[in-house]
Amino acid sequence: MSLDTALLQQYAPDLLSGLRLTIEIWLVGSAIALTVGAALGVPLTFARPGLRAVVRCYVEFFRGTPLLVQLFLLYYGGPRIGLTLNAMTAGLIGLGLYGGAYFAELFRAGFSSIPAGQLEAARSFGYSRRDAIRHIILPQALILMLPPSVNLLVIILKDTAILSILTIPELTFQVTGMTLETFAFVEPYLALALGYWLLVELAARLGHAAEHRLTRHMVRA
Amino acid sequence: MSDPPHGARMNVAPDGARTSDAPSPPPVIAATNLSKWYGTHQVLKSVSISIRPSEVVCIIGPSGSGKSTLLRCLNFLEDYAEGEVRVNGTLLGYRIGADGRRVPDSLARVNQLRRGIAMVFQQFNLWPHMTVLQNVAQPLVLVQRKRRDEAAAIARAVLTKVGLREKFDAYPAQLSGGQQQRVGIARALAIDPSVILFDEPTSSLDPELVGEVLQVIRALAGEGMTMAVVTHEMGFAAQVASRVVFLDHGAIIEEGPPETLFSAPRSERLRQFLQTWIERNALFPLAAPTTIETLAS
Repeated sequence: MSLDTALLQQYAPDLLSGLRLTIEIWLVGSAIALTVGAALGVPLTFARPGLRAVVRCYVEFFRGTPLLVQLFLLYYGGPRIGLTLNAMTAGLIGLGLYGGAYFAELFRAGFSSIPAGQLEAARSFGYSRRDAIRHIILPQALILMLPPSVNLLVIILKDTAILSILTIPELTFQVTGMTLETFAFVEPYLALALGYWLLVELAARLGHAAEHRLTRHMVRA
Repeated sequence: MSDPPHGARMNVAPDGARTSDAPSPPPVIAATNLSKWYGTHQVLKSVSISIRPSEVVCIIGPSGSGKSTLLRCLNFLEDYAEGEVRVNGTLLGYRIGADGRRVPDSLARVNQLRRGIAMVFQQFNLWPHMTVLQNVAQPLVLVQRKRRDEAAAIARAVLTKVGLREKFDAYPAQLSGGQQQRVGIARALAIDPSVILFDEPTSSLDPELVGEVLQVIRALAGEGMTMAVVTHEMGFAAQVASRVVFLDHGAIIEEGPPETLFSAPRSERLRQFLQTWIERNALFPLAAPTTIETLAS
């Protein structure tokens, strides 16, 4: 098998712009997902049963249905309820809401893993809920959440490929266009796989470094 | 059978104990007719207890008797169904609504009253991601709104007092259980409380670490600190308590100064309870007197 590198060179500008857009979508989508996850993770853990059930429904829906279907519903179904979004906005919101459901569960797990006695001590000393979450729970929970969060960010990165279906010109869309124009499949998709893999490796390494740094003061009990 | 806990030694008031026949000032914390249920199970049955300034009230009783629940109600870590808890005369946890019925109070008001009540836990409940100094200083900064340097100075002083001068920058996991509990006590002392509640402070410690923690509590008693101590350490209760309260099945069976309560229990239930304790110690004839003498030293 010989690889036609000239083909890749020819399409390099498209591929690079696709790569840049993929990274941008990943970063913005992850930021939305993290925000949604944090905002929902708190009531999912601490709210009274009624509110918790509502949040639980959200999480179950977004975890229980494919991202692709959610994107279709948002993009094509949105206008029916007066929500007309351009492809990029729909894609980012969809990705954020989807990832947010997973992050919410992650936050809940992180919060719940802090022994109740520590919170009780904070309560007994008159901490406000806010202070207890911020100073007692979060610093410990975030460290516990770091490895699974990196995992989730990696999944979100790979799921950005699904946004190509909304004609957003990110990496997968560019490569698909390339195959349609050239009828070459191996080189483009190999390049595509390598592109994602490189980004994932980068993310994993950054996560590892962050974990190392955050736990350098910690004493493992 | 070896020395019973109500031997002559117990009747000599040690320096930590206080006489209860002085004119009584108003209580720091008072519970009146406190009742609480978990589902259909009544864990507290119209319990009344008051802790006056400089008193050391030891709460004893078998497991599941409601000792810890009672203590936790005293700073509203647990709510209660009937009766009331008053902190320096103010109702804790509830307020009386316009219609005369009681309604749950705001967390802010509960926290206001909690400022004078410190708690020491069986499992220490230190915050593992903070140094010893931070553990003690943080409540001062966040709750009492003290400046950081001021809070740190107080923290250093109380930690020195409990013998942890060398451990300011250690993390809890680097300390022994006894040291961790002394941090817990320092954290309680730092807020300058009007009363400290101890919930089985030595129950999760290795036997040989119990002494160092009891020593600190004894020293506080000697200084006139007001304390309520849920404990299984009968020798300690006998020596340090100004009053001992015996709880069983959620009700106070008997209470009084340790000399009379331990040497002349009126109720059959308390007699049984003390007997079990004496027999357990008699199994190890060396252990019982050693424990008591260690405490007396």
